[in-house]
Amino acid sequence: MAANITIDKLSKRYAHASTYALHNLSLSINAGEVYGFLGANGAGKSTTIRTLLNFIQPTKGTATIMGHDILTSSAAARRHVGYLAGEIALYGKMTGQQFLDYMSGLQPLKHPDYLPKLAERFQAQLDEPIKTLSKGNRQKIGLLQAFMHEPEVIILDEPTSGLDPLMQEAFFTLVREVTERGASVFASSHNFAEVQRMCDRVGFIREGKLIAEQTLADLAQKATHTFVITFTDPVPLTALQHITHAEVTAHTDHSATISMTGELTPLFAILAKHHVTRMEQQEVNLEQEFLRFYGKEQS
Amino acid sequence: MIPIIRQELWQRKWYSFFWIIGVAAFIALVIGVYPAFRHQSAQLNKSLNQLPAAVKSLAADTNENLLSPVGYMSSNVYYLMLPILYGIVAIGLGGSILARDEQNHTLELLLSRPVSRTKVLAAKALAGITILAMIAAGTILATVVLAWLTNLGLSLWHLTLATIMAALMALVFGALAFTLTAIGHSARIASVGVSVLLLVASYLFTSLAGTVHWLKWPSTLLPYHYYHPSPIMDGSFTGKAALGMLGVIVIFALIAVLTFRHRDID
Repeated sequence: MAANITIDKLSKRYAHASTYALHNLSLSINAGEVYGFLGANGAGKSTTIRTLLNFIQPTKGTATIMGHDILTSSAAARRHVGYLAGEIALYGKMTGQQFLDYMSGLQPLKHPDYLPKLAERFQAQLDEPIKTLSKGNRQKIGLLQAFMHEPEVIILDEPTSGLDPLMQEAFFTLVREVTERGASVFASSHNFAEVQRMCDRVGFIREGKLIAEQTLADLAQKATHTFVITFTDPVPLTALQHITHAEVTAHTDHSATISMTGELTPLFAILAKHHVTRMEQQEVNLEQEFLRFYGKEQS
Repeated sequence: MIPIIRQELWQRKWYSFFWIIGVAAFIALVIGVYPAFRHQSAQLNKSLNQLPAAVKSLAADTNENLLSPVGYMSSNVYYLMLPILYGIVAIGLGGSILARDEQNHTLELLLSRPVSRTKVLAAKALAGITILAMIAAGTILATVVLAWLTNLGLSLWHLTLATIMAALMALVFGALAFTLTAIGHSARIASVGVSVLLLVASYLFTSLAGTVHWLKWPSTLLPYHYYHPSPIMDGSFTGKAALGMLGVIVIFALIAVLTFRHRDID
């Protein structure tokens, strides 16, 4: 599959800084893929995005967007990009419509009727001065300007920040639609639920280095599975505690919470010998994985 | 580029409007009261001639009668007031037209679009020049109309040329402020202060160079040294100074482009 974004050993050291804000970052994002970029504050997420968009110059390394070098063909690369900043700054005196007209003047829309449809879908308030809008409504305008020209590469920093659950749902649907037509989405986020909901693959960045990268499918397979099991008879605690790679994290007389990795057969073998009235699997917890990676790196 | 220029002009429409009106009103006042002085110019000039040369040199670039049409316009409009007023506009615009977008982080919105940094810079510079040109056009209109109504006795074309020259010199200082904002964060902080300081120093050094001899050489490095409105009004202007100032503006523009293209955006 062709990569819409390729990053090769990209590094950035700011003037007067002794350490790299971004160090030898290499990754590629395929057409139709949603890539989540996770990391703590100051880990290098924004530096990566700002370098990709040529707001800051890399110290070393290269990157391309749709085959265009981000340094030597930056304007050509940005022809394919839609960008939403984390704390988006807009022109407060303009109305939403005036702002979107201004942006589309700089980057004409492929289909002029797409923007009104998007605005309607997000119930964006376009007739009011932007400075009078709430954070959520400003975020909607930010999303519209990032998606309205139907770019092949969409770079988003905390995209659902300030959006209510309904609008978040509309956003996830939009992401699904654009990836179906082959666009790539590169989303930096602190919000694990958001990443888990929309991403195909995640990269964990720490101190400017990519420390792990995996697909959500892999993560689901390798990650710790947590089950809450309710028994009619007393919990077979000893048997459960003897399962390899399993841990009973909580229990009462008739219920147990067990976290385990790998093969589930030993668990089911025990459950088959008892009366189980309810079994609930908790979602794969990306946050736990994130903390596990960070903890591992730190130790 | 056009949308960026249009946006800047729209954002600064009231700023431009009030500057046009303000400068035009100043011109109307100065030229409007001239007839009251004209018939007493010989007597008043005798008093003015009692002033020390250093004081006279601060008011105009001519040793002639300061109440003759050329002397009056030079001392009251073209030598000091118009360059200072235009200088305030040019430095204010130069120091903010790019810097404000960078400080507010709206520059990222522009640079995330397929527009090169050179084009963003050119659009911002052109918007600033357009605003200054509109203010100068308002001044020219007011000058021409008032000079004709009061029968000032000076060529309307020469008055127009003198206004353009004042705007051009102010543009040198505006270009300096603009270039400093394009260079980067530290230079941006100093841009307005350095440009204003240079404008004031330029005026004082040049005006006092005839009296304070050690100022002579340094004044040759400053734009005011090459700015002489009186020869423009009496028709002996050659245009060399204008070309020199244009050259300086082009050099500033090149420095701005070369540094802004490859620097980190705040």
